[in-house]
Amino acid sequence: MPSFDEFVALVAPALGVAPGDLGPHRRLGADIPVDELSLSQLVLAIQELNSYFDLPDQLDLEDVTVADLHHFCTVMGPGHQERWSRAT
Amino acid sequence: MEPGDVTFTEQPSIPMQGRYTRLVPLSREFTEELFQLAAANRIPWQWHAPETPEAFQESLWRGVLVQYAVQDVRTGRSVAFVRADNANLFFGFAYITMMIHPDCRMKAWPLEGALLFGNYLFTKFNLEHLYAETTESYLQQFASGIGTQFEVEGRLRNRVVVNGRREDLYILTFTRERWLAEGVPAVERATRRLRAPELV
Repeated sequence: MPSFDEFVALVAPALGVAPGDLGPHRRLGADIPVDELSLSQLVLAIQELNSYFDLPDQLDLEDVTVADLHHFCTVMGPGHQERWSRAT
Repeated sequence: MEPGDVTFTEQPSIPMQGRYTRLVPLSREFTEELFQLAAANRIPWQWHAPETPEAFQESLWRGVLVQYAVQDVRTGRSVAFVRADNANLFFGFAYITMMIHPDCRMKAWPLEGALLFGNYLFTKFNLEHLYAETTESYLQQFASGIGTQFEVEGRLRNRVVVNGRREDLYILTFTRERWLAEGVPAVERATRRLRAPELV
């Protein structure tokens, strides 16, 4: 799985920003401008790194930090959606 | 093979389902829901709310080339509406519309339905250009695609009134050329990946 720096280098183009703009505590929406299309591109870019990546439905994509995204990209594996559903 | 025999080569099927969504015919329930959303101004039906259910029904099918509901594969719920209409297959263009249910905006995954629909149109029909019309306030929802996914072909100033405010109308163009370069690989990625629970 990619390090944080590798992760931001790979997903920054999807958001149309420089990797340096994607600090770990910056939030999508509030700190990093996003729209329907760039969010969609972002999810596709992360899934290139981890095909199991999915944001849990309960989370609002507009309110996650870059560190959250990297965390999910790193830990998600087969069956995570089912486990998350059972836990909530 | 005897003279006069005709063989048909089976066309590879056009993908109608991705990782999150599938394209399905409009159901009576979703049609009713669209009317309710349009009447409440929660979706921009022709930039104004429909006057009557009959007028809505008539406008729903007027000039349609093809239209589908975008269904969430996890729940079976219809979450968006995609449509191609006013097509001219001689000159190779059509107009497209996508409306996402207000509950599903900024979720990213419903846009996969637009990807499947674009692929369907460019694969099935002899289309070179797909045009879409939108207003400034709606364009903001996907403005990051200007110059990369689509072009702004024109701007008609103060053309429509949306929720009491006069707005410019933008004409957007999606070309087959750009589709082949960017859309086709994206569809391949979307359709080759299954959701995680389906893999285990």
